[in-house]
Amino acid sequence: MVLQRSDGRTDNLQLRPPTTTLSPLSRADGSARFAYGKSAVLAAVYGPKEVRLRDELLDSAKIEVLFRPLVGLSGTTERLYEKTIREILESVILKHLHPRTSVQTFEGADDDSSSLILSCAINATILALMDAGVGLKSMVASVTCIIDDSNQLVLDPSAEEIKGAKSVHVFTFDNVSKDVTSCVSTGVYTYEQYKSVFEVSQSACASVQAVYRQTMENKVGGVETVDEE
Amino acid sequence: MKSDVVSPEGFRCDGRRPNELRRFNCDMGTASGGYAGSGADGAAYVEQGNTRCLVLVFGPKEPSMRSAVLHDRATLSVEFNIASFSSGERKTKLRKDKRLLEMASIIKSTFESVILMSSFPRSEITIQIQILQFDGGSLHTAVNATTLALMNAGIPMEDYVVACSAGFGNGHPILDVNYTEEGMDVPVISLGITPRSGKVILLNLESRLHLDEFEKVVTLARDGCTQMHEILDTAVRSSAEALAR
Amino acid sequence: MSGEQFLSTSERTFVVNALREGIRVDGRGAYEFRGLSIELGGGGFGSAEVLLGKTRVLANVSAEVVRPTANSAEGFVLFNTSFSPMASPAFEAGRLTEEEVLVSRMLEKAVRRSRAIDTEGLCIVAGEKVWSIRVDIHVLDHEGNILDCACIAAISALLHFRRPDVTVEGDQVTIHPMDERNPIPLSIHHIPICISFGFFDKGERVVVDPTHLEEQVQDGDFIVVVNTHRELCTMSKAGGAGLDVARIVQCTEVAAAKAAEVTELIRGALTKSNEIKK
Repeated sequence: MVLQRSDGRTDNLQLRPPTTTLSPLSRADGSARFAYGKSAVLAAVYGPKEVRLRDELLDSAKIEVLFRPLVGLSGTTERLYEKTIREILESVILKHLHPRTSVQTFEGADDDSSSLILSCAINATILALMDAGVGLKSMVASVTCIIDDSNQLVLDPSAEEIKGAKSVHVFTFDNVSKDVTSCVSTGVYTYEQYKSVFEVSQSACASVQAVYRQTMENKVGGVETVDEE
Repeated sequence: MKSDVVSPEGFRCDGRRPNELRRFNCDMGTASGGYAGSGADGAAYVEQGNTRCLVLVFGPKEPSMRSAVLHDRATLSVEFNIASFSSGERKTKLRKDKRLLEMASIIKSTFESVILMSSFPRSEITIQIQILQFDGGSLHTAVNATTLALMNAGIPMEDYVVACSAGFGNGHPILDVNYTEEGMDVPVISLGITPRSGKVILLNLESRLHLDEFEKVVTLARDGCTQMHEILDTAVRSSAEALAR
Repeated sequence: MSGEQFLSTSERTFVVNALREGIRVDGRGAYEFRGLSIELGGGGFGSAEVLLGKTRVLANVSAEVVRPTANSAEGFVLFNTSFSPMASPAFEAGRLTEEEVLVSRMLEKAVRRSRAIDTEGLCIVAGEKVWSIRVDIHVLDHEGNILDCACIAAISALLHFRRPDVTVEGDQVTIHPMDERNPIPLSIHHIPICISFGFFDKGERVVVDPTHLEEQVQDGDFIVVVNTHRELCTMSKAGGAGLDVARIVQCTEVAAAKAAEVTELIRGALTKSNEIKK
């Protein structure tokens, strides 16, 4: 039997090829748009730049993250996203190189508001940081996985698939050590399930990192847009 | 009930002709000893018809916020308020009402280009505007009152700013629109000019007006401004004379 | 905070001197708009991303059913502007700047006060249930003339928007999902288009659609909102260089011509997006 997912994919472990656009914005120091299917996030980076006096850190750059939803004002969910992204960036940016400065990143959801958006936001932010030329220890990448109601593992779910999920996992992996940088899991799941999600996400992140590389190579080569449909 | 803005006999709902201003009455503040308790450096109270407006001017003084200091000129800050008892509907207005902020910002940028701001570097001029009774035309009444208050405070300006409104109702351009007429869906232009050069420095239109009528209405508003200039000039001169006596 | 960079005197004189010779810094004619690109439906019905030169604004329209104020039979149209700090280092998160107040008020006046949208058509049950239409404006990139760009984005998004169909039987109100019945467009009476002018040289020289650089140099602006029926919907000028009445009348004529051009572009984008849907 051929499995049919709501958006036409035939395999539960199939990752939609992400769409990336580098430097769509002209004012920001670096910017990128990252989309899995219809969920898209636009990220912009300013910095390292002058820091507000009360935020000044003597030994490192201050990292600020601001997430805006498409509709309405930001609430607790957005705060949670901001916190997750900031913690990832704290461990990734070479912030000790720029003491007494601030690095600001802004993410705006372009579309859709499922938890998939967090993965998009992390990836878009990393691309924007690379675009801005901010020094990073590694390129982290994020994917979302769910365990659906029939205990099947589904990689890169669509918004409808997330609605019926038993548990949702947002994993972020490093490309150097191949270890987890961040993991946000909600719902009920067993240890075995968690382990399999971990492994699937790990290899999926590697393919996202390949997309990063391709995007950056195109930038350096002079072409700034990649559309992989 | 829908009635004509201008009746077939050529009268408006308050008995005026289309090109007639409302009764104007004013009092230029601190010179005559009024409003001295407020600590203001200049004040003016203006009545245009039933719209009543009080403006207090403070400064030039040391800026209240250090971030407001400009090294080559003064900063102007404007507060615009409509008293909650000023009109029929008793609504407590939000402090951050965008309409009030917009009014304040319009008046601020209008006067910024007329006051000789560069004479007072590193200082601040504050204008507080209070609409006490609202009967239409709050913007142009406030502008006229602010001009008087600034003169009363002795703040140097290039010229007067005189303002007047004009609207368009059933085929007639009408001058100095009141609240009832505003409620009849009359498009209203508020116009402010600097009378010596005759140039327009403030222009505001809300609700729809056809382009073909526009020139007529603007010209009427301009004539209104010229009349208003004479009235304001007389008021300023007589208050100065009273001071000299 | 650092905010916006100050402009040097040489930059200022360069812009003004070039204008005196009839040249704009980016090579446009005085009454020429920058390139306009309207992308509709990126995020479903009622989303529009507009690029005016490099200024980028995203508008998103959403609808919900709410209770009207006291027995009214009219729906609501609300505007929410967010000047994202991503657009310019001068914008700070959570602070309402004067510019933002002016832009959101102008949009409200241009679209709501001019009765561009039929709010009575948004009523479901009088005094009980009405549609509340919410327009979220996100400024993503600030390269000058945010207002015109935001106005085009808002009106294109409203024209593109479809709300779910509703049937009323007695007290029973059914809202049909989008896939069950064809969703319904808003009824829009006219298309208000906002045109900004910038003045230089004490009002002697005028340009349309000023860039960020020109905005910093100009001594005054003049905003005209006009539709294709040649009706002025809103006008605003506050301070800056004084203008003759003749100059103002001339500007409104130019604005009417420009508005017709822009309306054509919006209509073009709408037809294109409708064809793709089929």
